[in-house]
Amino acid sequence: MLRYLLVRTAQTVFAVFVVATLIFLGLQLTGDPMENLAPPDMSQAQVEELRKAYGLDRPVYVQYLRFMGHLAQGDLGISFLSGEPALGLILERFPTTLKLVLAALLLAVFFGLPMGVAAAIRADTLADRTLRFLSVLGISAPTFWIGIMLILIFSVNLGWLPSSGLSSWKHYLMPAFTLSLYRIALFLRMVRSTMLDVLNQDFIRTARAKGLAERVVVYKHALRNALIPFITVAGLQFGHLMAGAVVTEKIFAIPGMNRLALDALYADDRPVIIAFIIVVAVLFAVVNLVVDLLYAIIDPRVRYA
Amino acid sequence: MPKKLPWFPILVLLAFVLAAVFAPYLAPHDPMQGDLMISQMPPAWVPGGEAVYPLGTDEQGRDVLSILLFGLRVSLAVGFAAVLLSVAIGTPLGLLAGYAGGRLGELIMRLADIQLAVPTFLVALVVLALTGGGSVLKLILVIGVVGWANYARLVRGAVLSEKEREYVLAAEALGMSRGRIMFRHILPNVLSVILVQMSVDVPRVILLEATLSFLGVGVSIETPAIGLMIQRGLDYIYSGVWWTTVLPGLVLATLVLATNLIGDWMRDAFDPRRRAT
Amino acid sequence: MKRIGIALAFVFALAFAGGDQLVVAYQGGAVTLDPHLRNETTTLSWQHHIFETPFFYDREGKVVPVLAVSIENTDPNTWILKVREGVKFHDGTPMTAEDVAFSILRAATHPKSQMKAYVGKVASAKALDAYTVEIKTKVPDPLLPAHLDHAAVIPKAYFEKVGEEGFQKRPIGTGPYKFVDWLNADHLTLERFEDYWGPKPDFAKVVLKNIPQGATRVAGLLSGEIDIAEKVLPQDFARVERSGRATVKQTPGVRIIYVAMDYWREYGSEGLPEGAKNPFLDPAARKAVYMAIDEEAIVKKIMGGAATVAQQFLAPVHEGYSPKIKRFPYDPEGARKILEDLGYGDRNGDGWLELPTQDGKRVPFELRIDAPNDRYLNDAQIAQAMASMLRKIGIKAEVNAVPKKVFFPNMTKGHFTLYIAGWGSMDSINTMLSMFHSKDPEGLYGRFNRQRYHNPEVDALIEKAASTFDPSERDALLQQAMEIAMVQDVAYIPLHYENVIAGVAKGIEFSPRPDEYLHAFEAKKP
Repeated sequence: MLRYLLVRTAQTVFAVFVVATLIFLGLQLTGDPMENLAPPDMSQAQVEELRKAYGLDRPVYVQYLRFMGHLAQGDLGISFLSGEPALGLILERFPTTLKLVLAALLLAVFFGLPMGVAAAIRADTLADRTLRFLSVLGISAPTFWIGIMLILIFSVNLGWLPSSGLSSWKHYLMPAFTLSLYRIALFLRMVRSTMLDVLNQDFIRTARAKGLAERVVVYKHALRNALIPFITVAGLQFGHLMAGAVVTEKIFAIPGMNRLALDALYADDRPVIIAFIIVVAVLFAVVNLVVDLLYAIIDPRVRYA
Repeated sequence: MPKKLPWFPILVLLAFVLAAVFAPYLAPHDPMQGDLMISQMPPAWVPGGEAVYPLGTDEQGRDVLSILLFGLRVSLAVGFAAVLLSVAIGTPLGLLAGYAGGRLGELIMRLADIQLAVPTFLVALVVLALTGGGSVLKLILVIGVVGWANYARLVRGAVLSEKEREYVLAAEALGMSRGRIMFRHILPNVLSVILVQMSVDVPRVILLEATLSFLGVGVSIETPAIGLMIQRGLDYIYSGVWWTTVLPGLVLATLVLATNLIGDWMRDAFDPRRRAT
Repeated sequence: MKRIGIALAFVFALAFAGGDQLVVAYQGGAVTLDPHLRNETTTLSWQHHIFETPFFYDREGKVVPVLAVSIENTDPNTWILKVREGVKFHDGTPMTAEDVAFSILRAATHPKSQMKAYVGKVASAKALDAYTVEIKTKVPDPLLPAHLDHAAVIPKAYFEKVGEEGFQKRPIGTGPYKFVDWLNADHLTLERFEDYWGPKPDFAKVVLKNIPQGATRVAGLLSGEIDIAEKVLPQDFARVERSGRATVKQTPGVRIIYVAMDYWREYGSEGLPEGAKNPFLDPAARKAVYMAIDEEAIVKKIMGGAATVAQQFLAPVHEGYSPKIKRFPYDPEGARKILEDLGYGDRNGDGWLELPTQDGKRVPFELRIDAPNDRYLNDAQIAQAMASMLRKIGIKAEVNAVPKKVFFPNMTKGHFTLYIAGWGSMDSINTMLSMFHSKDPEGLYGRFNRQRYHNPEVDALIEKAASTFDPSERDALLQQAMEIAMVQDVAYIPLHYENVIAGVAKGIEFSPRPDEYLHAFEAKKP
């Protein structure tokens, strides 16, 4: 177990270094950050001084080595725009995104899971077909458009909900729903299909033959087995939400880390862009690891040696 | 047996494809040429609208219907071409990794892992933003290249399970070359896996393109595209101009819905696991 | 029941009226609270609540003393600045010449300072006594007092105690508001400084917020969450006025949107067909394009009235504004005729004007209009409208609108024939040196003269103005230069000045400043 953890950690560290290298080199190809950083009224000589202050006057390999050296110590550089540590800027906003994502995930599980079970036990009935159609609808609707439609209905026309920020529970409703819609549909589909697979298996038939109540069969045996792949998917969705809430944060003016990254992209604030991608890569690796470990806990057949 | 063909979504998709192909003939107006004097005219059925502009005009006085018709071209072109590009890159690499294995296979799979360490959406967003937004071709290239890893993994997995089958062993015994076995025998057998994944990816990529354009890093502002129209419409939702956000969104959602429904059917039809049950 | 309702409504009314709190929504947010690092309008707007400078521009474009009381130059490179007495920092310590000298020097020399464009000429600043600072410049700078508007004064002792990072986290200045709390680029909470030296602001608490989407700012304004919203979009004006809860205030700004045209290549200009002759070397052709633009329509239809038609490059508040310069009138037929007379007429009868090529053929007059799409209010739309107007006179124009980070480097490298951009500066000498003076190899002059306009007479007038200490003499020189450049040479086509716009909730008195800074302390209760 410990060995497994160590190997996985080593793999993650390796991947982060490769990813960091690729972005660093990729960024070199996209032109001179000073063109956006320096205000237009500074003279060429003054821009050069600024370039020197940010270490951008050095040869690329020197910049790279310094960058990697700092990265190894957990230092992701100083934001060009604010002069503060890039990692700090992201972590300062991390909780906001986390709260939003947890709310969305909660909604998705709350609706998606029971709807999936309901569809599975009523397979091929009208209810099932309706739910399935709704789920296709859910994964087909563009997130950014749904967000705008919600604002149009609930803020513009009805005036019920605030359209920006995250300062009360009311503020959470629209963005969390916008983020969760796709996941509700996804969970519904996946729970339904795994439940169906499980319900067709021998041990369920045996359980039924033994005369166990249908409710026990469905919830104790089938659902338990269907939950394993569900946790995998939900875990991965957590990672995707954390790094993919950019549209929602933009539309609802939420000060999360994705919007910071988007602003950094628009402004060419490279240290923040790099830091964000590294944070995301680490987050993904951790989520994957946790999912795998949970898998082992829930499914006793899985062992990591 | 798979269910009967999903006629309705097929017809819808067909209609969209035809509309896109024949957009220059169908569009009542030039999608780029606006007339400021008639900007933000509502759709024909709303008071103030006129039949010449059935779906109204945008803030530049351009015909919404014409933009949508040409916009479908962008959505469909990026959706299909980018996915095909991913397949074209990912499949040979996956075949190689799965069939040849060894160091090379290991390397390919590690590369795929690294690619998948960061979500594709983020990679596309960063690349496009830093290279200053793009064109249809650039979107296809970026999204297509970024999507290779998934196919490589899938194909490798499928190859690994096919490799031990009797027909492959027989072909090897007959002394057939590796390349020939790979492309003539194994590839056709993993095609269903690729098709199923493509059916998931096409609608996803159509949405991805619209999202990137919405974020201002997709197609250039002069291109008639659906995501761009929604982005610009967003600034007008409080001033009562709903048709430049609601209508393109509906078209986009319908297009994606149709492809998803067809994809669902394809999954049922081609997924070997499901065929078995 | 009813009574409870009334009581509740009363409580809510009190809570929402907020009485003493003012919430201001900006299109962006400050990225740092270090006053010398970042020179960008929103960042400075937020910082101005906390920090003040020796001098600042008033709403009429005049330079007025703030933390200084007077300044005079004893020789072209030496200035004696008298510091205001009785000013306190937020920690209660009195401000002295020591602090002012320290701050000016930091703005002028900090490696990451972006204020060098203004105070970079300062060589030294030292306190002669408690309220006198002596400033020495490397080269004469007649506009030094105005340039000190970018040298925010910080407390030397406190700064040295907490260090740079500590200072950025808990900044202290002399301004009307004290720092309470902030999230970088998102919001800044401030509290009135009760020991402020000047008239105290009306609101005890201020929250500055970053709400990037225009429609969202308006929503907040109408729902009462926001008291002042920056940059309300023209399309929302009617809705705001109709709501009865807020009103739109506009002030003509100093940012001009202009058109520049390739002034240096006869062939190979990049926005024309391959091999075609560049017609814009001739002022007559530039004038034709000028006349083809219906600027009234652009202001009315695209800008929604949120702009002022420009008569010339400088705005009336600027030094060097010449009342003699007027727009060439809109005249599409006249414009087409000029181009036909220049030999670009439509000979093959396809409706498009034609350009001769180097090898003696004729090609359709195709023209690429370059513009940013995320920099100025409705920038890409302006370009599109202009393209439509040029197509009407027979120029086959199309638009290439790209994000600013692609646009500006490309323009600087000369990849254009005609482009649309904006320029906003209070400082006319800077404008003339950067935009109208011919380019020199060292990059001192004509840095933004990307179209390479050049006229030795204009250069001489600008250089003379830049070293003239007498304001009225300087003004006359600038006017003279401008008349040659804009009327005789048609150096640029002026389009409009962007209006500075704010949505203001009823019950608050506020109007925006022409320089685009938005200060909550200028808001008043009636």
